[in-house]
Amino acid sequence: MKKFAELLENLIYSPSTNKKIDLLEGYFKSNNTLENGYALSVLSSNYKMKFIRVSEIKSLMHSKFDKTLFELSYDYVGDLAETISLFWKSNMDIANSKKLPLLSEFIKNCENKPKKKMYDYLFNLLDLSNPTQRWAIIKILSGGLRIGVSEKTVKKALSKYGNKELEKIEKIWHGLNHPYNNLFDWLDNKKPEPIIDNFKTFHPMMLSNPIDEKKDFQILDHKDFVAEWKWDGIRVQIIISNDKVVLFSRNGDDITESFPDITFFSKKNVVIDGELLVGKNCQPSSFNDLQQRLNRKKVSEKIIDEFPAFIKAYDILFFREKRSSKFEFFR
Amino acid sequence: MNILDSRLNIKPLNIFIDPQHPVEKAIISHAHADHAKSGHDKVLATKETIDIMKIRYGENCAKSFQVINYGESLKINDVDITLYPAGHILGSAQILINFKGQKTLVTGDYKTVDDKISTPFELIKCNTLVSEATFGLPIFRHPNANEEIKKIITSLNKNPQSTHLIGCYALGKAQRVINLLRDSGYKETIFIHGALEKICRYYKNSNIKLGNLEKISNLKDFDFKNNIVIAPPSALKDRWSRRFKNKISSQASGWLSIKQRVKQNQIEIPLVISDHCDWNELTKTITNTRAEKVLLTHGNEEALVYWCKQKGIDAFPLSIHGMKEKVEK
Repeated sequence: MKKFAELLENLIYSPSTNKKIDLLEGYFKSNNTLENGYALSVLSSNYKMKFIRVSEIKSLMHSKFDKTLFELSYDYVGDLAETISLFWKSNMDIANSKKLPLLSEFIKNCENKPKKKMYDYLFNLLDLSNPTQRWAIIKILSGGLRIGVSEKTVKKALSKYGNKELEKIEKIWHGLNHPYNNLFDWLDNKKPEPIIDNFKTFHPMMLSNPIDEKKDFQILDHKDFVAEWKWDGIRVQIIISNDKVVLFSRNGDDITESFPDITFFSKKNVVIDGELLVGKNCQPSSFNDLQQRLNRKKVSEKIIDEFPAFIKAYDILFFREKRSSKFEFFR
Repeated sequence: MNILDSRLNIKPLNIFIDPQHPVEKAIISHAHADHAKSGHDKVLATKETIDIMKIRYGENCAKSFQVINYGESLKINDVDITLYPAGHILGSAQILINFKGQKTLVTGDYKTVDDKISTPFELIKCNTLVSEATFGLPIFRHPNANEEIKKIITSLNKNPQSTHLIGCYALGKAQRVINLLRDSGYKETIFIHGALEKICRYYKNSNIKLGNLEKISNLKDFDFKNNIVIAPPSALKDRWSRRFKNKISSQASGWLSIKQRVKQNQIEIPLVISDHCDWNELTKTITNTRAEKVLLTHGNEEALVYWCKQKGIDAFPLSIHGMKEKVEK
């Protein structure tokens, strides 16, 4: 916990991505597989950790401290974890002498503790910590670090640490799970590359790259390209396997629940890259109409009738067990 | 307010404390720009404050100056005025106004921690206290400055290829940081921005240990490594700092206990070193002065006003006319 809190603080203070990568690499080097796995779970958004709700933490603080002074401080600081870390009165001498649990121990404890015991556990930890450690503890407990480290940066650091190609990490990334033992075993050259079920995970998309008019146009040959319509919806990846359809946004978020009207007749295992659109009789209507369907957890019949969703397919990524990028283009 | 109005005018005498615009008679608590303005007719202040005002604004920044020593009283009509050390920067003073036995104390900017540079803060009992409230929230608890400065030493050892650029306000903070570096055992030449030169020389002449300093603009070659450069915070973001390759930015300020502030200012090594009271110092001072009435100025007054009222002390926020929100010096 001590080392991890220090890492988070250094990350938030580092302006350059390269420095962040170096810091992460340094952390992975000085910790074991278990600690690294838990650290990665906290840093990546794959594993949603939310042991205590923000409102719960707030009311805990209100019961422990003067509410007015706490709220004035919170107004000023603007970040709850940070406010608590600075507001909490603890004996700094104790903080330096006593040991905090390891990050993996801490998270395992949180996973297993009943709510009521959780509060005592948290209070005790905050008493043992210095402000930075308190900040890290609350950030982890409430989920959402917001320390300016993107998933890409984390992946780059992993690639550097394990001396593996970034592309390889990208390919398996969405099939990996907390606490990432198989990933680190591979990075540490203890075991082979983890095998990922292609019909269960999102595959990172190749999005458009900017073309430099002056340089690139001279090198590019139009015979190597095919043009196709780019529709004004949202880019999605559709995975069909075992009668189930799963819809991912371009960032890999599972958005299946919002679109129950997307169904497929095929029972074959297929991964499709396409554009999600709305409109009656599969006639695309405006992006504004599509927005009526986005970010809804529950969708009413009425909305579905008014704005039915459909897919314009661009490409097939996997067909049965095969990666289609290995096939010829016009097959 | 009885003897003072909201512009800190001692009404029976028509003498202003730290006036924001030129007046006939002014008492200046210390030489920071938000307290000491030029253009007054008569200025009453400590010798150091007057010296520094003259260095910064020129010999003629007031028509006449009168030096008053700490503890020395000046009787004008029915009013006794005495200046006491405020512990903020060299020459900083609290101003006690004794009018027919009713004591009103204006702290100016102060800290109760001894920085080994300015004369240590002296606690004065009073009926009415006018206190600053720059760090008037319980989240502000300044750590030990000697420990904070070690962050720089540690980073120097870890990053021998880098220039460490520390942003410090030119008067007070810069000299304190240099002095702390010397106390921590750093013996190398420290490089300074031109804006710091005259004040540093003045501090040196006042027997403050600053060691060997060199002005950056005297150098032709900027290809130096593993050095410390001290500059005003504004210079850190300016083109001026581009001449240093491989630099690590640091800044010394009480605000930097808040990580988001550090991030906003793109500081890699925040030094939480302040010349103002933190929350504990403020509340302790309020209690110990035994003041029945407390007025709180420039800063986060609201929490302190609330705190005083909880303790049964009469308290009000006082927005001093023309004074902007405090940026820490």
